[in-house]
Amino acid sequence: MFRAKRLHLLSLGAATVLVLAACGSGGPETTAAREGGKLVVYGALHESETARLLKAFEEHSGIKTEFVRLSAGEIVARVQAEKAKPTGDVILGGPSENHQALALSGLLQPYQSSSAKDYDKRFYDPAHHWHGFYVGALGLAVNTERWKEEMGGRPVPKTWDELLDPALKDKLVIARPASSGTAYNFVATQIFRLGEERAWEFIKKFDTTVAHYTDSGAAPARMAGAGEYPLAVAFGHDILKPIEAGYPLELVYPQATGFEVGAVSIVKGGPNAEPAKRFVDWMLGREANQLHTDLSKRTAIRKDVAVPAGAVSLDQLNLVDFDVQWAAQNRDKVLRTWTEQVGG
Amino acid sequence: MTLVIAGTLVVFVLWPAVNVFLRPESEHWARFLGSARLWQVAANTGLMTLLSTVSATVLGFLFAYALSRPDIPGKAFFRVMSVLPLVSPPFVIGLSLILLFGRRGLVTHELLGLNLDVYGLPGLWAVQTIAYYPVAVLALSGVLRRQSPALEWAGRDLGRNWWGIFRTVTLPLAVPGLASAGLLVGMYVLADFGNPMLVAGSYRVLAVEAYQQVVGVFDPGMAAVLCVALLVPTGLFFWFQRVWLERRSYVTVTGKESTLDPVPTPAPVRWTLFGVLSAVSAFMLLTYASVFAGALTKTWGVNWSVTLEHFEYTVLRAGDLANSTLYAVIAGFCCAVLAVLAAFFIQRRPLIGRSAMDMLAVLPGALPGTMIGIAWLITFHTGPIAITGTALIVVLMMIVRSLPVGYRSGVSALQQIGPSLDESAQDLGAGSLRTFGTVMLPLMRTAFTAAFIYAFVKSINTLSAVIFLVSPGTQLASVSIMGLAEHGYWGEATALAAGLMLVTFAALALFRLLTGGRVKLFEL
Repeated sequence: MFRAKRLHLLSLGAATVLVLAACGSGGPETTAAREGGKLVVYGALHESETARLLKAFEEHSGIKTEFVRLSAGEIVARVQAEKAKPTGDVILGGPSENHQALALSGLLQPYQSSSAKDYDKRFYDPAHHWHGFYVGALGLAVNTERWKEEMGGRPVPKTWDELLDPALKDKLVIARPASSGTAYNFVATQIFRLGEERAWEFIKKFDTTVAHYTDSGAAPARMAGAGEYPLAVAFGHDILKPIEAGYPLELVYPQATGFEVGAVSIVKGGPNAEPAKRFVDWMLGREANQLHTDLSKRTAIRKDVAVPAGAVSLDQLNLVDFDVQWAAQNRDKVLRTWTEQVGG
Repeated sequence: MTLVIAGTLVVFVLWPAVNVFLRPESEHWARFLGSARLWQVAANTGLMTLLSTVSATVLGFLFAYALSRPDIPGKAFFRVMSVLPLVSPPFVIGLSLILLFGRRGLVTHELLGLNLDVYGLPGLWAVQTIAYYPVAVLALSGVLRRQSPALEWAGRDLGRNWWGIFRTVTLPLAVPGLASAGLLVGMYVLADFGNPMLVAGSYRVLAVEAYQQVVGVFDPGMAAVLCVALLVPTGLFFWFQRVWLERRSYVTVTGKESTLDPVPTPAPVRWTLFGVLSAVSAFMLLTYASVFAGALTKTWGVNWSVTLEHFEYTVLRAGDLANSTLYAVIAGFCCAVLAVLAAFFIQRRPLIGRSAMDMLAVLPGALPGTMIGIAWLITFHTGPIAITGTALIVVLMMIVRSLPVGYRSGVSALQQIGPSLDESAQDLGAGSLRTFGTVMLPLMRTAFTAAFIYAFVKSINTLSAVIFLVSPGTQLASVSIMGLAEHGYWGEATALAAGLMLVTFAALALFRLLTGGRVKLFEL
């Protein structure tokens, strides 16, 4: 009896495996049926922001949507791997360099949105593979408590060049350019600000100020917030998060700072081409931009968006003349030089 | 049956792997071999893996040894502690280490006034040891429990003291288990990139480098090259283990058992063991307490007031928690069945290409999750088995990812069971399946349990591989946790992590109740 039961259990298990395997062959049809008509969004924005934006779009257009949240880099990897049969329709958020990388491998659908005419040419791809809708400027996070503890009454640095002061040796955290778009943006900013040759001199000196290179671009702000280091370089919105949570941080936008352009794009050959276009038109419009700015406090590119408390408008920022195309095309070369000059 | 197992391995392990490893071109290889920096990274990886593997295996052995002796105090407690680190979502141990022992850690800075730097090799070594010793416990506990006390008593009768018996009987007989444990721990440590990303600082390792190649530089070819480099040490160890183990016999279960109690442990040994395990357990409990504390405090380090607001989000994501639990239960059961079946049929039945199959069964543990995830996405997106976008692919991935631990536990168990037992069953007319069901399965029960626990707990927390396979309807809690952590919502992230851990514990307790203690989950 006892043995029979064991065998029973076993055959049940084997049957489960077989049934699972059998389900496999029935899978694709059901998927196709489920996806019919639903716009699939790969979102790099925060989950709750994406959910709110999509809900507003559904109310506006009557088009049903669903989304998966991935990091911007994972979206690129996923879209590349799915190129034989794309399942995503729209990529929402993430820096333009990532969209550009997909555009260069022919995986994005160019679309000249009617809303694009409201935008400065700097903020979208001339071939219309992607359109930017927000700007994230590089900022300096200063932990005011730790700064006072270590530096006394010394004023907080306000420019990039002040960071080269030998007194600031090992006081700052920043990500590693090869692994983080934020840190690559920092390097590119110095190149646009100083020209290539002087930029590398700057970066080599700056290396002594850096105590620690992280992998993730948002981590330095968190570490400065916790007081692990007095200074960090990160995008402004990544610094505002810990400030909102109550950490003793001050956000400084240095003169001639760099920025990322957060973009939206359409996956080539996605299952819902028309709804995807309608989404891009809507996303670039005023209503969606206002909602996104209110939710995220990121800086909108549209001039007709009201600036919520805690955010800054595009006019308030002193931006370097940042060439997004150059930055995307020269990434490999710049990273190689960085590795040579600064090391692993 | 043999064919079914072989087919499963070929389709779900070999095929995706080949699909990825065919991608690199000679240019990628030249770049890898010519880069002094990457050689340094490889050397770092080797050193870190060696240190962590040895320490995690030793710690795992201590736990398993203590659990196999009836006279160690506090066994019920240590039994839970022995697998506790498994019950934690990906970034939790590393994060707690930073929160507690970092430069501004609660213990090191606030209490002791130190300014300790955990980033780098020492921190990573500690985290990997803590994170992976449960794997060694799972691989070793069955082996140690099945050692016949008669052999130890024989040693005693020949005049050996405890150390003599340990050195000449217990330890040598545990070699297959130790080898399995070392192989598994080493493999998982090599392939892990979550912990190094959080605590390694400027100390670079290959798995992180491969991850960056995929999601940072968008160069899957280079990533594949780095993964092949990760496979080299695993392959060498594997080969070494086979050559070495196959020359000896470790059979202790022969069908002629005695019912003696194990030889008592001398008091100094007993209390030293108790002390070491207590220290590790205390550290673990502190880690876990910090997660729950993080979930309940407003802002860690700034505002310590107690709040439940972070849990609002956990309630919102109840659907994800339910998905995670359901898939993990299915995956855990299927994986346990597959693991013991595979161990039996690959090890004990006539099979062409036995060593190849043996290797395929552990391969999923040797590759970084990101790579396997992408390989599956490429392989199963179009073509004969197009299953992306379904829940099935997520469950299958969970099964395959956990297979190595269950399979190796099964193999170590089989190495102790004399072939005379299944030969007798066959002589009496039983077929392969029946021999397995009536003779082997009862003897492999601990292996089955180990496989189930590991697969269930790992699947509920799995992240790196499934992130490419989840679709809108099949979101998992672990994926949401990482999304939250990435955007700096630490309160919500720890709250969801705490919720996931509570669900895991509840499920484990429920299984124990449901099976009426027949499959004792913590009886390792």
